[in-house]
Amino acid sequence: MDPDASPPAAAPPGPAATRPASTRLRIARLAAEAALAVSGVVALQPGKVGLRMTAGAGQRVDGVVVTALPDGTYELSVHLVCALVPLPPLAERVRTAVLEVTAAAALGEAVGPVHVHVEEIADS
Amino acid sequence: MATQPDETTSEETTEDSASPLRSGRGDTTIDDGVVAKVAGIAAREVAGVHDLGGGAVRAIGAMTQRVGIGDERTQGVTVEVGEREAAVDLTIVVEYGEPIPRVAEALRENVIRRIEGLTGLSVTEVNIAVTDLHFPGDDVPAEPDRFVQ
Repeated sequence: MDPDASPPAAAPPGPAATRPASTRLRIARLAAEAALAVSGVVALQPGKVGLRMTAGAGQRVDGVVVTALPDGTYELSVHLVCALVPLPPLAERVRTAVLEVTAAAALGEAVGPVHVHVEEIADS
Repeated sequence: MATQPDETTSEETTEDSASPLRSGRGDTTIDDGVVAKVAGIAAREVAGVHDLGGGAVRAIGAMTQRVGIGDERTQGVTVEVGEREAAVDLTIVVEYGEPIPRVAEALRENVIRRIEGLTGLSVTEVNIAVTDLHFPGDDVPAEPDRFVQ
């Protein structure tokens, strides 16, 4: 018997790596990369219990929550650990970076509001 | 200690115009813990402030920090954060010899400047409670035996 058999009722999924990433997951990954590239952003923060993340296709993006909206677009929440710098401009730079990167990947019209949450200041 | 909200701050906030934390493409939130940490760091920058927190808080804080679960920078700091305003309560220990009203005034100014500069929130009040004085000799550990002879 296969030791890691999936739950009996479900059809056995393909190996995680070969399954195509959903739009949600692609947006989450792009947003995470874009946010981390902004100077002043130290890390993404999945929260104390790790629930602020987006998962799918055997992968997980911590600190970015992508929620599908009824109109077919996706709402993003990006949770950040930041350096001690002026935070509203930093949040704006993160938002702009996320919108630019997703637009460049032809996902621009799928992205709705991008909420930026500063959860923590990094120890320096 | 009675406090007055800083008057220079209220002039800068343009009422019902856009908050720096709102934008057309999503909102920005800043966690209360972030505001508290900024306030704690700002408070420690002021000359004459020896430490933050009351007696029990500092005793417990010294222990929790040693085992790595405490954060000294939010000790003695309580914040209430609204959508665009914040109120701060600070409990401090002042160096003996420093004029307390002047320390309090400098503290209030610095905390307001830092919070407004870093978080974009306008600070409505900074309440300061001075709970203790610190004497310069207090930190020297007593080692009586060495000096007996």
